[in-house]
This record gives sequence, C-alpha cells and structure tokens, in this order.
Amino acid sequence: MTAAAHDLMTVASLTVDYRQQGQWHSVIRDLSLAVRRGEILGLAGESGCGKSTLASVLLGERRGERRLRAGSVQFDGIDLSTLRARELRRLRGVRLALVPQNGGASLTPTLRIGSLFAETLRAHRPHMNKAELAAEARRQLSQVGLPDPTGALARFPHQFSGGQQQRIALALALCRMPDLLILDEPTTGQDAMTRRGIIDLLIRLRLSSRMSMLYVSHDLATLSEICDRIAIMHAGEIVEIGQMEDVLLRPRHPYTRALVASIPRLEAPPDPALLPASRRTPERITA
Amino acid sequence: MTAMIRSTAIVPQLHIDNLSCRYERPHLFSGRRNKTPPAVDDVSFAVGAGETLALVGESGSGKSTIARTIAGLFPAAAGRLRYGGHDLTLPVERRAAELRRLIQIIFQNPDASLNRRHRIGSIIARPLRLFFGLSDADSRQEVASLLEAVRLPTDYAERFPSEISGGERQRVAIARALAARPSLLLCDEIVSALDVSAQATILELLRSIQTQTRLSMLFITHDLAVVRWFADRVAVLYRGHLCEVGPVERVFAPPYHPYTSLLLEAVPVFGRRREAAGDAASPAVTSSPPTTGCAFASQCRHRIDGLCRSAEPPWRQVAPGHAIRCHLEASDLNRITGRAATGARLQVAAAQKS
Amino acid sequence: MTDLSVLLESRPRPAGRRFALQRLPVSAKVAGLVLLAYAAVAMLAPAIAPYPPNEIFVGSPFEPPSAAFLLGTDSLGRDVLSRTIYGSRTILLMGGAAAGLSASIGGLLGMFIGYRGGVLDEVAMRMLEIIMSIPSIIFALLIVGSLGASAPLVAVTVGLLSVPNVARVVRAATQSVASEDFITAARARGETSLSIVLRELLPNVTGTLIVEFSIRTGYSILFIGGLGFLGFGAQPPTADWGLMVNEGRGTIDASIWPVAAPAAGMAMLVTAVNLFTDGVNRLFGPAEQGGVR
Repeated sequence: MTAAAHDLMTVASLTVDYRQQGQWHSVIRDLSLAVRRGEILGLAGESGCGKSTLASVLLGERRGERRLRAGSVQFDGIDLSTLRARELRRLRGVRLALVPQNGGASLTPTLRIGSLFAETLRAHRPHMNKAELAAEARRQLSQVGLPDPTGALARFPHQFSGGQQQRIALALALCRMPDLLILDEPTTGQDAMTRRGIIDLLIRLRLSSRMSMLYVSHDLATLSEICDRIAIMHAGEIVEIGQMEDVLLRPRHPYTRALVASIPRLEAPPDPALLPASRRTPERITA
Repeated sequence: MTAMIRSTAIVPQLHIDNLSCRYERPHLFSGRRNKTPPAVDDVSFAVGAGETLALVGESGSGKSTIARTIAGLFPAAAGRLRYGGHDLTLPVERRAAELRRLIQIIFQNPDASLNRRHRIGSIIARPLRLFFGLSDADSRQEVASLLEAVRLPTDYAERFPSEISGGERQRVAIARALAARPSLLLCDEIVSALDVSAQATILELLRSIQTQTRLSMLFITHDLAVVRWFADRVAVLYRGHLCEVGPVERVFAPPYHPYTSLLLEAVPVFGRRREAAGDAASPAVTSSPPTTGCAFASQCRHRIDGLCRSAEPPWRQVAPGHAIRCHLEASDLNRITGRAATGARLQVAAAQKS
Repeated sequence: MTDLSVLLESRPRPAGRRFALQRLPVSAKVAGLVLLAYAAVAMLAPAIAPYPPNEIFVGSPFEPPSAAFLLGTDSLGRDVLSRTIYGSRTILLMGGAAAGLSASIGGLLGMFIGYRGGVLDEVAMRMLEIIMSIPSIIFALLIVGSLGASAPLVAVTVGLLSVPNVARVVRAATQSVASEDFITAARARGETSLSIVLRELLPNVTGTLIVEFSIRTGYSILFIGGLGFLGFGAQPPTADWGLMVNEGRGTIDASIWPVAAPAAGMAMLVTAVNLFTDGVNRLFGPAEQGGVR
C-alpha cells in the first residue's frame, strides 16, 4: 500500500504481539489506519483494547516485551521499522511527539521546568541564546494556561498538580512544533475544569496551526468536541472509522452504538436501556 | 433480587451541620499547629432515606474529606454530624459496630481498594464474618448471591482482582459494601477511573439496588454529566465551601451559581465539534483561597467589586429546596448565568424534548 | 443490559499462573539444588555418615584420605567426613532458626510500626537504630560470654541481632502498602490492628519477607560459623564447622583436611544461599512489588 499524498502517517495491516509470562498474545490485529495532514483523528476504545500500544508503536517504540508480527508503520513515506535508532530519535524529537498518559511522570523529576525546556528547545533551535530560550518556554507555558510561567521555570515537576504537570508535558511537546502530535489520554484522571482547559488549548491549536493530532481517549464526548474523524477500536481492531458526526451520531457498528449509548450527557437522558426504571417515567421532583 | 440486598429495618438520616475540617500537622518538637486554611469550611447538608445526594466539586474542593469524615477516617475540626441516633464525630475505631455496618464507603480506584492477594470470594465474605459472624462455609451462599446482585458470575469468587476488568473490580467493591447491609453508601468518585460503558453499568446497578433497598447515597464526583440523571439532589462545593444545593432538576436549570455555571460549561457537548475555545480556558487556581468574602470571588466573572471580596455571600432561597450562596440576586443570576452558553444549550435541549 | 456489559467490558484473560520458582534465574535454580542437597545430607546424616562423628580413634590421628577415611582423620583420630556431614546439621539448624527468628519477629515489628506510623514509628525506629549502631559481634560475644555458650542460645542471639535489619526493610515495604485504600477500607470496617497486619498487610509483604529470610540465612550461617571458630558457639565435642576449623588450625601442618573440609562446606553453602537470595530478590524484590527500600 502506498501512502496517499494527504496521509501523514499510515498503518497497514499491523499485528502486534505482547509477551506475557512467556506466551505471545496479539493486542493489535491486522489494523490499518491513516492520519491525514492537518486533521485531528480521535482513537477511542476502552481500557485493554490496545489503543495505548498502538500509540507507542506509531512512535516507533521498539523496547518492551512486544513484537511487530506483521504490517508496517509509515510516517510521511518513511517506514519506521527501517530506521536506525539514531534516525528514529531525530524524527521523534522534531516531527513526531507523544504526550503520554500521565504526562507528569514523563518529566525528569530532578530537573527544573526551565532546564526541561532548555534541553528540548536547544535540540531544535540551536541558535537560541539563554534569554530567548527562557522567553520561548514562558510563551509555551502561558499558552497551556499555566499560572505564573516565569516562576514555573524555576520550580521542579513535583511542585505542580497532576493537571499542571500534564499541561507542562503538553507544552514541552508543543515547543518542538511536531508535524504529528500523539496524545494518549491527556485528560483522563483530570477533573472537569482541567479537562476543559486542555481541550480549549487543543482547539486553539487546531484553529491556529496545521498540526496533525492523534487523540487517544476513552472519552467520546471530549473526542467529539475536537476531532475531525474518529476511529473506534475494540479488542485490537478498528471496528468503525469515519467523520466524527457519522461515527458518533449515526453509529453503525453495535459496539460503537453501545459505547455512544453509555456516555453521560447533560442534554438528554442516557439510552432507555441504561436508564433505571424510576427514571423512565417522567422526572421525579423531590423538592 | 436476593436476600442479601434487602434493606435494614431502620433507615436513619444523615445530618451534617457546620462541618469544618482542617489538614494540619503538629510541629514535631514545639507541638504548635501550623494554621492552614480549612479543607472544608462550615458545610451543612442532609441526606434523606433512599435519597442520592451528589457532592460535586473539583479536586481539592474537600469533597473526599467530607466522605472520609462521615466514615470516621478523618477528624472533624468543628461541627455536628449525626446519623440517626448516632454521633458521627467519633473516629471509626471508637464507633459501635452497628454504626460501622450502616455506613459503607466505596473508593475511587478498585485496584487500590481490593487486596490483590485475596480471592474475590474472601474479599466479599470478610464483612459477613465481621458483622454477622458467618463462617467461611456459611458465607459461600451469601457471597454467591452478592455476586449475582452486582451481576457478576458466581465463579468469580475464586478469582483474584487482577483477573477481572476494572469495571468488574468496582462491582466487587460494591458487593463488599452491600455485604454489610448498609443504609448509607458513601461513593467517593467511584466511576471516575472507569471507562464510560463501565460507568454506565455501575450507575445503573447502584440505581436498581437503591430502588429495592431504600439505600441512601452520598455520591461524590467532579463530573456534572454523571449525576445529571442519577442524583436526586446536588450540592456544589468550591474549595471547601458549599455554593449551591438543590434538587437535580433545579440545579441544572437557571439561575446558576456562577461556579456551577462554569462547571456546566466544562461538560463537553456530545457530537458537536467546537469551533472556538472558551474564554474560561485557564481556571488558574491561586495558592490559597481568600480568607474574607466569597471563596469563588477571585475567579468569578460576575464579581461585584468591593463587595464579593470582603463580605460573606448570603444563602438565597431561589426555589423550594434550592439555595444559592451568592451576593447576586436570583433575578440577576438568572439574567447573567441563564444566558451563558450552557444555560442556553440546556434550554434548547429541554425545548426539544417537550 | 447484561448483553451490553458483556459486549463492552473486555475481560483480561486470567494470566496463566506459573509456579514462582520456575521463573528463577538459572544460577538460583542451581543454587537451590545445592541447598536441597545440603538439606538431604543433613537429614540423612546418620544413614550416610560412615562413622559416628564424635567417636575417637576410629583411625589413627592425621590419616590422609583413603578408601576407609575419604577425607582423612583429625588429631583425635575422628573421621573428618562424618564430622563434616554432621556439622551441616548444626549449621543449617542454627542458621535456619536464627533467620526464622529474625524474619518473624522483625517482620511483625516492621509491619506494626510501618502500619501504625506516628510517634510509635519514630520511637521504634530510633531504638532500632541504636541497636544497629552497636557492632553485632561485640553484642553477640557479650551475651554468649555472660550466659554461657550453647547452640540454642547462639541461634537466638544471632536471630535477635538481625531483627532491626529485617524490621527496617519490612517497615518500608509496609508503608507503601499501608497507604492503599484496601487498608483504609479495612479500618472503616473496624478491623483490629492485628487483623489488618496479618490479613491485609502480610500477604502483600511476603515477597519482602522471603527475601529477608534468605538474606538473613546467609548472614546467620557466616556469623554462627565465626562464633563457633572463636569458641563461642557449639561446644566440643559437637561437630560444628566453625569449631572444627578452630580445632584443626593448630595442626594444619600435620593434615589440612580437618580444616579444609568444613571450610569448603561453609563456603559452598554461603555461596549457594547468596545466589539463591539473589534470584529470589529478583522475583519478589522491591522492583517487583513496587516497594521502597
């Protein structure tokens, strides 16, 4: 399969195995997927469906008890499996970036935020001097809505809350200005207000840049707010993929339908099948 | 459904009056206590028999502290807590066995709340032994019916927690709580760590158990969408202060407390791509809440300068059973917050429905 | 409804549980076999030892190895092989008892102070540190010297000396478990501290306890051997390896075997215990359990 010109990343017939206690199990089965240039693709599925594994395979990760049994991953026409470790690292640093689940844990605990930024930025903008590096770091931090960016540079990761660490990890990924940003559950475990802050930032990015994003999450409601297309993953396979409106408002696969039905919503009660007997009748007013 | 989840004869009520809690550590040598702002400040509410009260707030709002205080796991700094005829200010170690049995708590993360070295059957049998003196052999039947009650196969009793999914694990935690035949269930963010489908299953399960047993629930969450169709009443908590209490239909309709309105806007609208970022992008939480005036004043979009930062806001009764703690009049709140995006969105949805 | 939940919730397949010992590294498996051999020799000593260990002049003094005396005889004409075989009983029994004592007392103590925390923890830890700051050899000589040397007393003394070490490690492992919600849930149920420690905590620190027991076995064997050599262990005529080395060292010119045999036995035993400990540590150690050390 050749990558179409508008596809930035293509996954073709990918099968990935995991080793657990000496035995291989496939976690991804014959999966094909493409992330188009400039789009936000949502990858939805429940825990254990293989979506986080997919995210790390897309990044060319090779370590771990895992093997790529079949298929290929191409980024902008380059087959990631043919790259040497150094080339892969360069690609990852500049054009491909991941904000992992629990991004706070990806921040080196012994380095101040300022040093983390200096390290990342220096690799990409070698001409920048100290003051310029700091200014750029501040700009990125305020962009993700972190209060007091100047003060933040002098602090250590553990001095921030989980939500703030997640946003710092995001800012670090963004300052590389990657072509493709992979976000693995960036809002999971965050409370509603922090989630809103991260989503707003991504929406602003979507409006202001042509960055492609792969947004991995089990939260369909959040995905629906920012994604152009959505892929639904179940047991290592993509069961449905298409425009966000088509997939979520007119789901075809029974799994997608069940997922959509279980989303908690403000506007309407959940699917009658999920609504308890007491609520299927007109609303109770307890006042 | 089964014998196990029948209700207890007396169904007392929970009354929390002027509860304050404080995290403080006496200094090791001087014994002096450092003054920290209270995690829970002067909170009052009640939960009736068979009722579900949702306690909603961000992390750090003190909602879990309240649950832990009711369970006797955290001391109250001030206030009166009663459950039926029982005094809840006692720590759990000094409570009567009957009271410990009546109030059960379920935690957010079932990975941490179930001992991974015990089989599920033995996890569920423990309260049976402790509260009803059942031997392991006698409890086997009860464990099976409890597993059925939470819709798990009875052969799960032989499995370890690591051998089942997260949603199933949370159902085991619920079965363990039900084993004590409680009359009040404290649910501390019990669906936040779960996938949406598991969330829906758990909520539906709790609801059906509740209709059979008249169980009262204090349901703690940060997600308003979760409780919209689940709770009977909602209490909104901001940094240890209650700001709105009322029946769920009223809290989710204007007038809103400005903070409730902000929380509502944070709930994603399903199936509609957003083309503009909200202006409340960064709920920048400052290090400590103000000591005077309204706790929410520094973040409030409708702050009245000179008033909100200096004077405690009054409780305003805006409808029967629905109170908002704000300096703004109900009519002003209605005008300001009712027009906000979420208000409009909910009204549209309501209009479509009728 | 049920259909839906079946469709939605993917159940992880139960991980095939393999016997933990099968996952030991090869070196540890070999070491384990060596230890089993030691245990067999110790248990079957009366059957396999060619002569009674303490009988003198079964041969003439300082006979070199021969078909009759595979490892020769010592200054009193006792068979070195028989004495070495019986000596393995003494050392395994004393070492195992000492390690068991330190693991059980230290384990319980560590779990209690790790679980209760607060002032109890502060006080207990300071006390343990004081005990640990006294060189253990001096401590042991003091006790054994004043109460009289005997095998049980030596085992108990060496065991007690290791209690602080075990307690410290177990306390750290306990602390990381004690903050989990299943402990909070047990407290909320009204479980007693004892039942929380034994029922909830113990199964979660068994790995640490096994590792500690293993470490303490190696340590105790060496220590007891050392005390025996100094004459503060088992008393003559007991077949004790430390004692045998001491007795044979003056006449090493006449025959090296009365010294070499017990010394080699000791060296191989300690090496096997340490290799085994290493493997066990890799299986149950802090990295596996997420504990802090």
